[in-house]
Amino acid sequence: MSIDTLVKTTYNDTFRKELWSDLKAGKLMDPEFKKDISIGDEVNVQFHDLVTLIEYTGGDLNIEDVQAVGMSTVKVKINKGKAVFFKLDEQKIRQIEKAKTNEEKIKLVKEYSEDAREQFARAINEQVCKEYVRAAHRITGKSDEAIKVTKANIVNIFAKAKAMLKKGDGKGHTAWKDGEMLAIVSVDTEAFLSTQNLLQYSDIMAKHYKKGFAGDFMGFHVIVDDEVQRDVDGNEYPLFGRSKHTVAGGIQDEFKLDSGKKVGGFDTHYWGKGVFGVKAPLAYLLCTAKLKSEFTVDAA
Amino acid sequence: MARDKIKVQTMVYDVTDSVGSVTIDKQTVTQANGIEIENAFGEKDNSLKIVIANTASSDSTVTIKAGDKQNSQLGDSIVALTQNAETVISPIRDMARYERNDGSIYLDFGEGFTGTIYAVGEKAGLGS
Repeated sequence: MSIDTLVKTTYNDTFRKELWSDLKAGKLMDPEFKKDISIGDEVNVQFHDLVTLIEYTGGDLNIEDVQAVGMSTVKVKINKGKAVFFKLDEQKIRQIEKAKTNEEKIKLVKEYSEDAREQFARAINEQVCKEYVRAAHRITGKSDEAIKVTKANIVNIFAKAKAMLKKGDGKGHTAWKDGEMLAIVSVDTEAFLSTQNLLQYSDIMAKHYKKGFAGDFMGFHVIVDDEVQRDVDGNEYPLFGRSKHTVAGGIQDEFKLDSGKKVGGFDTHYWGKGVFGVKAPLAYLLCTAKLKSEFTVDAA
Repeated sequence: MARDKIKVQTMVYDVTDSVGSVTIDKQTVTQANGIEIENAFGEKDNSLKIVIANTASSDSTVTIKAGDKQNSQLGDSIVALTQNAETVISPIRDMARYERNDGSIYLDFGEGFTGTIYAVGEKAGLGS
């Protein structure tokens, strides 16, 4: 296999396989990877209208009571794109060629894909975090003021989010599914969570901390994401939702690389692009809170 | 108050099926009544356009009321209407937020608004 083919194959293969593990807030998204989507495309998310039960008092049902079940649509626009454009000089290519095993060659090549993949995942995480504006459930203080997070009230915020999601749309459709709920929080909010006694002294929690997770709390698996959005006043908006269900999206499934050398040039250039779009189609599946979360050593 | 109802006016295509057009009828808005657009999303995929002329000498607003479907919890949306200007509202990308059970959407207008409204879209279904 030529180095050129190795670079492109390794890049494309690892990108898709490992992108999902790089996602944080993006884990709220349905991981459906769509082929052949381009910037500007729209993905229709359709769902049935609610069916209303009618009183039954015996006998046949009246045909006039039949309820036509229509469809509702929310459109997800594929309107974000990222591109990668790098070159390998002859020296780097020789280094790859001289690697003793295929594994070593792939390891060298993967260096080029990892950074791009992480940045692409970060872009998706950021867009998912921006969906807080579509949350039907908002936890705020009086008159829409931000809630100042403390060691004492952080559990209440999570409990409120849990209650709101369990109530769902208020028409019998819950947004809660045991074992599948995620909380996407900032580092500061994670710090408040870390002070909760019930999280301490666990080997499993210690493992989670190493990965950047604060563990599970009030039925939510907590994921720390730097992309949690802040407004101009510094208030932050964490997300509470269900893994793979709260956000719909589409991602071009291959960050397919092309390659070539410019006229008169010796270095091989590689370029590729990925496009995506995300949206929380059903507002009742998403909860947010308006928080002033500043962890200090003296934080109450 | 009884809302004044308008229908979405759909395009008619020329004999070569190359271009569509419609001569529009404008509805004068009575601010106190508000407007109901019947079967607002019955036209071809996402082609609804609501055109509002604010003939007043001050800026105003139109409120697209939350409906009965799944995303009604997101609440109303308010769109600014500049004085002596026409505003086009399109596309409505979250139909589940505004659509009522009968397929209509409701619009309310700011205090003191005077002007006209019409809605156009591309016809869905059979026929030209």
